[in-house]
Amino acid sequence: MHTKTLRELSLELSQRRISSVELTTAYLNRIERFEPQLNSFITLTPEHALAAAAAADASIQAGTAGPLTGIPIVQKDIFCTKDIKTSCGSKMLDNFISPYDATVVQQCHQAGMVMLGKTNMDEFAMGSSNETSYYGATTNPWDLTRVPGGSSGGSAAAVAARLAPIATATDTGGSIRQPASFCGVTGFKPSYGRVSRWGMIAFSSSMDQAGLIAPCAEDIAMVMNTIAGFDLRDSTSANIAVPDYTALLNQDIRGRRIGLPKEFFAGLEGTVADLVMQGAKALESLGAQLVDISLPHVHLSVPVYYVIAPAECSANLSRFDGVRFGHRCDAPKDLLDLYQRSRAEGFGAEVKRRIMVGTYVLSAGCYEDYYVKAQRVRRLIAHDFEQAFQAVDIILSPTSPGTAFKLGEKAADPISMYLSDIYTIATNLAGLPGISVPAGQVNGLPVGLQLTGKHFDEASVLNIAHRYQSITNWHTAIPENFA
Amino acid sequence: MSFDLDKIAHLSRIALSPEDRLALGPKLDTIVTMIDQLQAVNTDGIEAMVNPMVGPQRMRPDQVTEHDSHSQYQAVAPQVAAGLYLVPKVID
Repeated sequence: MHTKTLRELSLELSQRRISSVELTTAYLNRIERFEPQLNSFITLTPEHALAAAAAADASIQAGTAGPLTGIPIVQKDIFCTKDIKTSCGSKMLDNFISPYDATVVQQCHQAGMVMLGKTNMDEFAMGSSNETSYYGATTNPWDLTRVPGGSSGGSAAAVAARLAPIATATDTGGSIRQPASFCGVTGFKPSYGRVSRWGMIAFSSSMDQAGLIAPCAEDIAMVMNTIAGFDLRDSTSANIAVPDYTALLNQDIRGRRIGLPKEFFAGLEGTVADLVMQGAKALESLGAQLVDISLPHVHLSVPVYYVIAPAECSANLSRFDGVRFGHRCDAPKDLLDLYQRSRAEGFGAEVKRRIMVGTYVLSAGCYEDYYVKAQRVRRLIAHDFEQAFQAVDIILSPTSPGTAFKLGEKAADPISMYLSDIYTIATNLAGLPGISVPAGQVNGLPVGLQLTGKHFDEASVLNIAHRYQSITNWHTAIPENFA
Repeated sequence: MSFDLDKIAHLSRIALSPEDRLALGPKLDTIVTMIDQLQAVNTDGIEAMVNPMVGPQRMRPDQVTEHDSHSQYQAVAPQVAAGLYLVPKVID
């Protein structure tokens, strides 16, 4: 069962060739067998899952089921789940049992999906390797000595090892697309505002977005139909109609214009570049046109991001003060001591680093020179995309400059770690939809190809990704030890 | 402007141990050097982009729509009494 796509599993369930309880049990057994090698989960919810599976089977029997009823899913531990621990990968929330479900979790539950557990992640979504998690690093199923990427490393590893058919994830600077690339799976970040952020623990509020990781674009389209859409409780939620993404997957892509930014390909050599260009040629063989474009300010994405994201995180994480929820230090001598020690004990090094950079760029004397300046450069970067999209429909690039690096290799060098997101960050600054699809392997390690679309044109991104996957089979590969 | 570690740690309300100072200090300096690249960019006449939303942020009517969830939300609090969150005394 674990080698089947979500669409195939949906058919198996609807035609009653398997029950949801049987399917859920099969995945729980795989988790029990393989999870010790991966550490891709923070919390497993087997009783919850089997109860949901039984309810799904009753719905299928009664003829009231939908396409996702009975399908197992794993939720990144950044989404609040009612009565279930929600840690955000941090000691700060190690004791936090959420009193409510995030909108995304509610939507999956209402669709009859079966939650198997909460996946591991970089602490408060800050990281590109899943090494900053309080619960330990997750390993890459393709090579257990390497990182799965981050911050959605647990979700990517779990899907790559086929411990679940699909996972939710979040992306602020590449945290869906980069781990998807490193783990040989498909990872999709919708446009900012397309999916509700209510109940999704905030890191950088102008860039955070919920998305999905699955083996293929078709599976992602099925769940996007459920989680995309307006939410009254999220003031940044877009009130724009949601199309049927599955109905648009097989549209002919002849004549679609695919932009290749010269800034992303200049100086990129070797097999990653070759594989991404082969991917571009594959789309050309389907009738798409390749067009050279320029994004002149895109080289500034990383410094802009590392002003804005820390600034916003310093504001968002100020709520973790030991007063109302989360970690509190022992025997605080006064209120200041309570704040300072609770936060020092609760946060890891990378989170402290980013909070402090954010506090610095927002402080008196720095605010105009750093924060406002970065916002102006952000507009230049976003404008580059607007200009490019006058000439093209989609932009194609590598997802990451390389393949998964070794555990510990970049942990001591934050700048080197930050640069692994060099191709993904601009998409978040501009609020655009982006997907990473498997495009080959280098020395047995997956390489991802990234497609970025116009605002709220998720349909084109998923369509082109699906058509690419209809003539390639990189997305069907499963790591040998997890086959 | 130079990075005053003690001042920033105080504003961040994070206590720094001697080990934290050794680990954080140099790395914070390299990050600030990296973001300083932006100073060389000409942004004359460019409006700041606060978020990528298409259109203004929505407002809602000033009406109470939520019900009292006090006891539910305080179930996870470190210390509560009579519906209040307890903290060290602030006023003598």
